[in-house]
Amino acid sequence: MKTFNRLAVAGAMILAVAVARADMVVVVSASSAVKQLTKDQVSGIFLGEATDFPGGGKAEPVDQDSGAARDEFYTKVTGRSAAQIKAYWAKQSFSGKGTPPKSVSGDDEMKKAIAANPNAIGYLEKSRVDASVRTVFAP
Amino acid sequence: MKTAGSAVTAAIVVICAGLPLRAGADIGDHVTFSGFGTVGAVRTNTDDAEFGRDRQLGGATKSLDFQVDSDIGLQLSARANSWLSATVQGLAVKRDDEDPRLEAEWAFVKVGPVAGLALRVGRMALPTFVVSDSRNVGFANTWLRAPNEVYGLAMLRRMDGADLTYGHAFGPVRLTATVLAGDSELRALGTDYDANKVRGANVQLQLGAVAVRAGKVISDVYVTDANPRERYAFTGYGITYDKGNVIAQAEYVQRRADFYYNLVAANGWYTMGGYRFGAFTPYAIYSSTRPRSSSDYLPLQTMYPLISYQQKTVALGLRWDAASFADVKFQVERANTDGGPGISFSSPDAPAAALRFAVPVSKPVNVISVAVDFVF
Repeated sequence: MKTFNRLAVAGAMILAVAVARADMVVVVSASSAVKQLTKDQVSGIFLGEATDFPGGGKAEPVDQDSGAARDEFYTKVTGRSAAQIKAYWAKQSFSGKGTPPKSVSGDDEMKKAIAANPNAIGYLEKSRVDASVRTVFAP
Repeated sequence: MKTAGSAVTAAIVVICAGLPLRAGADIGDHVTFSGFGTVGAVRTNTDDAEFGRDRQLGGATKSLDFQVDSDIGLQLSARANSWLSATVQGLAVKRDDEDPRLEAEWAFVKVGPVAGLALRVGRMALPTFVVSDSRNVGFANTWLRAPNEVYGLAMLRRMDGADLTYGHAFGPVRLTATVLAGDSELRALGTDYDANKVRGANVQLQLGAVAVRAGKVISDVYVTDANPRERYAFTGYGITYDKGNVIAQAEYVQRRADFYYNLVAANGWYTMGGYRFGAFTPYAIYSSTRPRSSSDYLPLQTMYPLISYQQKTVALGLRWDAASFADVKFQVERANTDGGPGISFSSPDAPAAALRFAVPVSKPVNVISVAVDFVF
């Protein structure tokens, strides 16, 4: 019984972490004029199809380094896997059409990069959002 | 000849093994160095003619060949600011000669001062196909090799000139339109000709999982003083579908000329389908090409070989995304030329340069290929 309880608690904790990880939101700087974006608009910016925000102003996307957060973002926003995104950028960059967004490592670096640049757009865990950034899309 | 080619291939493999495999390397704030490559081996069941791609001279027979699909590309991109950049890409691959050669495949300056508009000046690929731009980047494509029945038809692939691209999203529909102008050269029946006044347009519409494109490239080819403006025209239509685990693609192309209509005119098409099972994507391709003739033009077929002949291929393949920077592919195919020279076959030892792509292939040919693609 004790072992079962321990396992159940451990399982619940793992599940809780997994569920908490799944709350990723797309953010811009608090000093940006952008209020809200649709999934297609976010996807267009991160795939290099749109260089400006719909309402105007340059859009500078910021990625996270390879990992769970990045994979989750691309799956939820573009519907493509990490391998597909990699192949997409190989196609784009080796035909001179564009280059992938700069990437930073982790939510803290992401928040700093977004807060410092009114043109930046990125993604991080919902719980990390504070007054320096604004949520514009929640998948 | 073959030894020199093998040495280059071996060098490519050695260089690839030594390079750090990251997604591009930044040199300072403004310059990025990146590259791609493929190491591939091909074998067929015949020694009657050699199997290649994109009008390569010579290729695979019953002996294993490493030069059909192997290549390496190195790219340097420099970004001055948000609207000015430059790209140079060197590509070493076997082209229409017998050995691999390193050439500047892309070399352009790109200016994009206004949102949605981009002007490129320099050397660039012509938009003849759905995947013209990334034809050589194995990693960017599901198939091991683009079907020769379509991709082997183009006589112009690259130009020195300029193109202007406009891109805009009209609600959920994304439009991309390009116009271009420049110069190039083409090879026909073993001789090189200047392709002047290359001009063309390409339009693509994308809605969700579906994209359609149509494009045309024309040129005035200087054949002789008596025929200084031979009109070459290449038109292509394509559709791609990519949603969830299903991918499908189809293209139809037409190649035409004026005076030499009955040597040059040909159509080609293919359909391709694939399904992703996690890291594995099996796919199938059916492709076909057929020359065309018209009594409106001089019947030259008795005097000269055709540029390409009829051929049908059924191909089955598998792409395995083995790592985030590399994939492995297998492809088996059966090419049927109905006893003629087809489009994938050549003989470097033909009695005349004009006859190198006119060697009859008496029986259907089975081809087996394996390749490893990578990016860095």
